[in-house]
Formats: sequence, structure tokens, C-alpha cells
Amino acid sequence: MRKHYDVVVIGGGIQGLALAYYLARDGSQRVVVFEKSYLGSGASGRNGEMIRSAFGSREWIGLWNKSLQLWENLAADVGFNVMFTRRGYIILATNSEEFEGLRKNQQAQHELGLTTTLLDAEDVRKLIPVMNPAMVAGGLLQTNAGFARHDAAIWGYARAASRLNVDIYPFTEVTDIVVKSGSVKAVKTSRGTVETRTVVNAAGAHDQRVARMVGFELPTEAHRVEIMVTEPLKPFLPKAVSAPGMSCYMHQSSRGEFIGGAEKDDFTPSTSMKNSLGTTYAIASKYVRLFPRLAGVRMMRQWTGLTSQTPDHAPIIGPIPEIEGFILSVAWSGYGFMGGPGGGKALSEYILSGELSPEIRPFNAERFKTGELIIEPAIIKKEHRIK
Amino acid sequence: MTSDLRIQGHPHFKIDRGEAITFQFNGRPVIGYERETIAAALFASGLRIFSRSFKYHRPRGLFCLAGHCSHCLMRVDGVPNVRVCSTSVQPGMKVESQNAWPSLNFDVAAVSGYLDFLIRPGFQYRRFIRPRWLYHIWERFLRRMAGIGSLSDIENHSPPRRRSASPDVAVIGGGIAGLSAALHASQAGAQVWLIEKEDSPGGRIQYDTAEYEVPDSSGRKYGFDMAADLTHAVKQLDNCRIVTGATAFAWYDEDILAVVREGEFWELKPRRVVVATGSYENPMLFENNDLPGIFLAGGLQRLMHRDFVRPGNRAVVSTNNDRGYGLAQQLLDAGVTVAAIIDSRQEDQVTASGAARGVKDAAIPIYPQHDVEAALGRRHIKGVRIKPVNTNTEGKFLHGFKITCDVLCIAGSRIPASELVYQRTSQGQYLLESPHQFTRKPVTSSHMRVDTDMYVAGEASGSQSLKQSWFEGKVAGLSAALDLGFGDANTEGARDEAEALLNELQT
Repeated sequence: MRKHYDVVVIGGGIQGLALAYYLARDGSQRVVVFEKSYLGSGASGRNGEMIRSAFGSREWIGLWNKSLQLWENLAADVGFNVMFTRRGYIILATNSEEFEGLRKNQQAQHELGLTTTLLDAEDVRKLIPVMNPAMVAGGLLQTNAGFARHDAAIWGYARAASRLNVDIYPFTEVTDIVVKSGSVKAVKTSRGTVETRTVVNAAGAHDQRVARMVGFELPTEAHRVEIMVTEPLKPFLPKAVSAPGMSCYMHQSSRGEFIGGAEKDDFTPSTSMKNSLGTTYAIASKYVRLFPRLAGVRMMRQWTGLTSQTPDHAPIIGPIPEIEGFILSVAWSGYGFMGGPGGGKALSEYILSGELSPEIRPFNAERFKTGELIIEPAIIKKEHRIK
Repeated sequence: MTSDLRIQGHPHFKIDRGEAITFQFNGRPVIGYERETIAAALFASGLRIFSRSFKYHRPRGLFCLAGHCSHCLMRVDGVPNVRVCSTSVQPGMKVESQNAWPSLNFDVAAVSGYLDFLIRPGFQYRRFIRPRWLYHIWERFLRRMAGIGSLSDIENHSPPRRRSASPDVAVIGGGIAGLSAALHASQAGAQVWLIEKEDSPGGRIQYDTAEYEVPDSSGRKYGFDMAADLTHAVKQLDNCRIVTGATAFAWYDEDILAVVREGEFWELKPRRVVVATGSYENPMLFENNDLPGIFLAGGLQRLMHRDFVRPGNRAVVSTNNDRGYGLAQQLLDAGVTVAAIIDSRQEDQVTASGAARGVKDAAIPIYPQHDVEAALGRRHIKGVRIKPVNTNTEGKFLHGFKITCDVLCIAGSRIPASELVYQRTSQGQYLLESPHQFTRKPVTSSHMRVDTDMYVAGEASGSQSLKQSWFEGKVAGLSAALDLGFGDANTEGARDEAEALLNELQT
């Protein structure tokens, strides 16, 4: 470990590793990444692997489309096949009201140059014949979206960053951040202290603990999200599917496993890392409502992950005016895996140039004071306790 | 010729298969019997390859017959991935093979075995990175290879009935330890549920014809007799409910033990739990160790003593403990010639164990300090190549050689099946059992306790003998009942006595 680093990244998930990689590649910065556990041990290695940019708000479309473009060439960039596939991503409408919402979102998407297709119920049925027709009012298809292998994305970024002399320390906990006269000076870890003027909080569900080290209070809340995987079946679901109206999402992996998650209708926040029976029922019954022939199929594994959420469900990215050199990349609200490459790249551009790009400017921390919240209609939302 | 694989007479069992019935396999009629499993009927009809493996499409035959492995997954009446080793055969049933084209015997995709150099583990991350379009083509091919069975044909599957219960004590697993725990906890006065995955309690000992000392009593009994007697004793108890065909598969955050059964989903909130889930058999490592004709010892016992089907004509037993010799005797009883016993232990250890003496009369060659180097054959085992175990002392048989056989019995070590303990409480301790094997065991405090309301007993705790399993079950069962205020000073006395005996056994 060196005595001094240009940038210290806290958190070895996709946000931290992508940022470290782009900083080293584009700016030859000396970067260190500290991870409390193993790389990708948080939400980065526990998510549903799905990737899209077909959202409904200008802000989300902008940032996530930057990310989608990076996903397309990520394997070649990092020299590791992250198995990103453009199988297509369908956002499902289960009633006409939701379908109208998709139509509105599509307008926003077209204005920003995205090519998405509105599908009527018959189109969806043709694409996914085994889906229950009673549940389908239509959908929106983004053909160049899909999914990737989440572990591979972590390994790919970590290997590529390491080759560019980024120091990566797993199983190393950050214990304190030294701030003098309003500026970051050093970071204390279980491995020793390093000097730096720039610290990035990319600690996922532990974002608040890190922010409190500099005396900053984040308007975030950690939430449990649960996922279930079935035994491998011959391919029957060619697209990634998300049904925001039913609070569920799913795809079929290249091994044939049907994988996805859902929320209970009576959502109760929890930070437990155990699976709950209530959510297990919710996931299974939503799977079966959409795909009746899945009934009786065995569940192979299930697990949980923690996401950090803001009141408007959008991440907080960028500096804070209170502490110089303390930068946030937090509260990705369950959309951090797909947004990882874009978030990392945009934040690295800011750190290297000092200029906030238009993609991340709206995601500042000030918006919760000024009230300029980001309203995104096309995501799965949870009740938030902070109003 | 294959029809005579059904055992007609056996020194230990009176065989009654029930009436002959007809079912369909891949469109052709097959004869089975009422009390047979699908696997037994197919095996007796001559089928050896039951499935193909996921990646290399290697042939897979019956292996564990206990519902643990994936070798016998088939499509039954439109339902994918059914383990036919633990499903009984019904007249008119439609059974189909999966993941093989055009047939199980000749599967085109098995060519991937020759492309091994291209598709080594992890290949998918290292290849097809550039140019991009190559990956999209490759991916289409990859996806076609995905999955084992196809989606079910059944559109309106009725959901299981959701039920709940809060017994005083839930005992998970009905083997010796579980039966002992259930018996003693009930006798002390607690309301007990005994949850058993198979159709009858008794555990693997019910398929065992070896003789065992009767614990807490005198004399010796056959394993199957002991299982039957104990099951009978537990069934007599008014306050013990035996739930068979039920799998306790998870602890949920609501502190609910989820148990699934045909048509039923039980949410249990027991006040005390005894985990007596037994153990898994460990396969051995050698070339081609997945060839059809290779069985785990417990699988052979189930095939011979549950399904009354002979595994083949000429067997080799590979072992590292005394159990292998018992298996050799049981193979002989079923009418199988035993060509050799391969024992990886030192010669003096083998002699000292005395187990070898039991099979001496049968004139079976025993090769101590040897193990199996490779199984020979392409679609079915034709023989084994054995080699001396690397050792500094002078072995008698220093060069490897071949033995012809059509059955290989793997009687190796066992590993505790204690996932339910780890899911809820301790992380377990790792013990180096032999140079080749780490075993993970739950950490117990006194009275076989692993948590305030949880106990573990039998092979799930790492027990090495039937006697030990019995007394662990007794200690756990009595303690669970005492915890809840059942029993009296005598109960406590009995528990402490059993625990003292256990400590003696372990030293």
C-alpha cells in the first residue's frame, strides 16, 4: 500500500471498480479501492443482472444510456467477457393504464434518440408465447438492452483496473476519514492510513456509515431485496422482462435458470440478510401468474441483497459543497448494476476535469434541499419512510 | 436376459413386488411392478444411461438412488426434472428422457467432450470477446444448449395447501438419531413432529443388512430390523406425529421452518428443533468417476434391498473403511460376484479392523493400500484400473493393473448434511478428516445444543456410529423436552447418563 493516492475509493462493487478503472485508464491516476469484504460482495454480486436505458425521465435515460453504450463494448475494453447480451428488454404493461404510461415514456425516449418499440398484447404473445395472456396489455421493447453476468463484470473491471496499477484491497475496512478545515486529508483503514485529497463513497448499503465519518447525513435508507432462481429449464423466455406494475422482474440465464425478484405488496423495510417467507411467496406467485407452466418447478437458490434508496429512488452522484474532496456515488436504488459503467465513467470525467457532465449533474445531493427531485415513472418503487 | 436382474430369492427378504403393470418410456411400453420405483423398473428392463450431463453430455446412470444427485432426472407425465429413483411407477405413466438428442444412447451433443480443449472451465469469460458479433452468434448456440428439462405441460397446476403448526419439538430426519430423539422427547411428554423426506422413517439403515449392536439394550439386530422396530415404537406414541414424504428445506426470516410435501406447504414454528438430517456420501476422485455402473454404496443398498434389483453381475468395491466389506457381503447375498475389494488403508489397518475376516470365506481378493485410478468404458463401466496408494512403506502390489467388472461400488466417507443448522446459527468448524477431505461439522455445546432452541444429532453432527447416533438423538430429544418443562428428575438423570456414555464413546 502506498502512502499517498490521488483517489481513494471506498467500496469494491461495480461503482467503485468501474470508477477506479476509468480513472486509471483515462487519467493515469493512482487509485486505491478498499472493500470491507470480498469484491462484489454487496448488491453488485446479488442483483438480477438486467440492463436497460428505456426509462421515462430525461435524467435517467441520459445516464443509463451512457451506461448501456459502455456495456456494449465492455468485454473488449476490459479484456474479459462479461457476457453482456442484447437479447432485448421488455417492460410489461399489465393494464391499459400502464400501457399509456409506456407510451408516454416512449416519447421521452425517442426525443433522446433511443430506439424502443411499443408492443401490443399480440406482439408480446408472439415474442413470449408461454406468458399468461390475461396478464399482458402490451409492452415496450428495447432491443439493444438485455443482461450480463454480474460476477464477470466485477472480475473484468477488477482485473483491468489492477493491470493499470490500481491497488485493490479486499477485506479491508475503512475506519475513519480525516478532514481538516473542510477538506479531506487522509483515510484510515484496518490496513493503515493513506493520504489523499479525494475520497469516493461507493459503499452501497453502508453509504451512511461512510458519510458520517465526515459528518455528512445522507437521506438514504438500506432496503432488503430478494431474488429466487429455479432449476435449469430449456429456453422459453428470450427477453429480459420487468413488470413495474407488479413489482417484479425476471430473465432466463444462459444456463437455463429462471431468475428474478419481486416485492411483497405490503412492503416492510428490512436490512436482514435472510430471505423472508412472505417475499418468497410473492416472488413465486408472481412468477406463476405470468408463466402458469412454471408452477411446480423447483426453486434452486434464493438470496438477498441490500440496496440504498433515496426518497426519489434516484442515486446521488458527485461532490458535496460541505466537504471538499468527498464525492458520492451512492443510493443506486437497485439500478446500480446496469448504471455501473455509466456512473463510473461520468464520475471519473468529473474527477479528472472538475466539470460535472450533464448526465450526472441532476443527481446531486442538493436536490433534497432545493426540492428538485427526479421523477422517474418506469422503475420498481418501494414505500419510503423518509418523506 | 436382463429381466433376471430382478432378485427372486434373498437370504434376508421375502420379496413381494406386487402386480405387473405397464408404463411408457420414450414411447415404448415397459413392464414394471406396483411397488417399484421408475428407476428400478427401467434398470431391470435394461436401461443404463438415464440422463446426459449438462455441459459435455456425458452418459449418467443410477448413482445415489437417494434423491441427492441429478443422474436420474426425467420427464414424468409432462413434469420436468423428476427424480425417478424416488418416484414409484404407476400404470400408464409417460416417462421421457431429457437433454439428449436423438437418444440417450447416442447423443449428438456429446461431441462437446472432444472439444474440451476449447471449452475448459471459465472459457466463456475468456473467449468470443472480439469481434463483438462473434459473441452474439456464439450466444445463440450457448442458449440452445441451456437447461435440462423443458417447461411443464401442465397449465393449471393447483397450488399446494398452505398450512401451519407449532409443535413443541420438531425432529427433522427419521434415521436412527431422529427416531431416538422423537421417541425420547415424546416419552418425556412433548408433542413431537417427526419430518421424514422418504416414504418411511428408518433412514439408510432400513436398507442395510449388516448386524448392529442394539443400543440401550442387549443383543444384535439387522439394520433393517432395527429400523422397523424403532419406527413401530415411535408410531405407537400418541404424541408423536410422523410426517413422511416431507422435506424441511429452509429457515425463513420470520423464524419459520418451511416444509414441503406433495400438495402441502407447511409453515412450522416449533418451540424446539432437533436437526437429524444425516449425511451425504462422498464420491471418490478418479478418471471417469461418473460412468454408468458406478454406484455409491447407499445407492446399491437401495437398489438391492428396496427395489430388489441386482446392479449387475461382477462388482468391484472401492473403500477406505469397514463399510466396504459389509457391502461386498451384501452384493454376494444379492447374487453378484465380487471381483475385488480395493481398500486405500494400510495393510495392517485392514487386518486389524477385522472386517476383512467376514468376507474371507468368499475368497474375494482384497487389495489394501490401493485405490481406483480410472474407470474403463465409454457408455458403461467395463472395468477399473487400480494403483497402489502413494506411500513410503513397501506395498505388495506396486504396479497398477486392470480388473474387469460391470459394477463399481464406492464406499467412501460421509459428510454431515447439516445445512439447516448453518442457515440458522453457527458457521461450523472444519476438520481435516484425511489428507483428501475436509469435513464441516456444526459446533455443539453441551446436550448437543447448537442454539438456544436448536439441537443436532446423528451423522448431521458428525456421528461415526449407529450407537453414537442413537445416544446423540436421546440426549437431544430429552434436552429439548426438559427445556420446555416436560419430564422430571428421572428424565434429567437419563439424559445425563446418555451424555456420559457419549463422552465415553468419543474418547
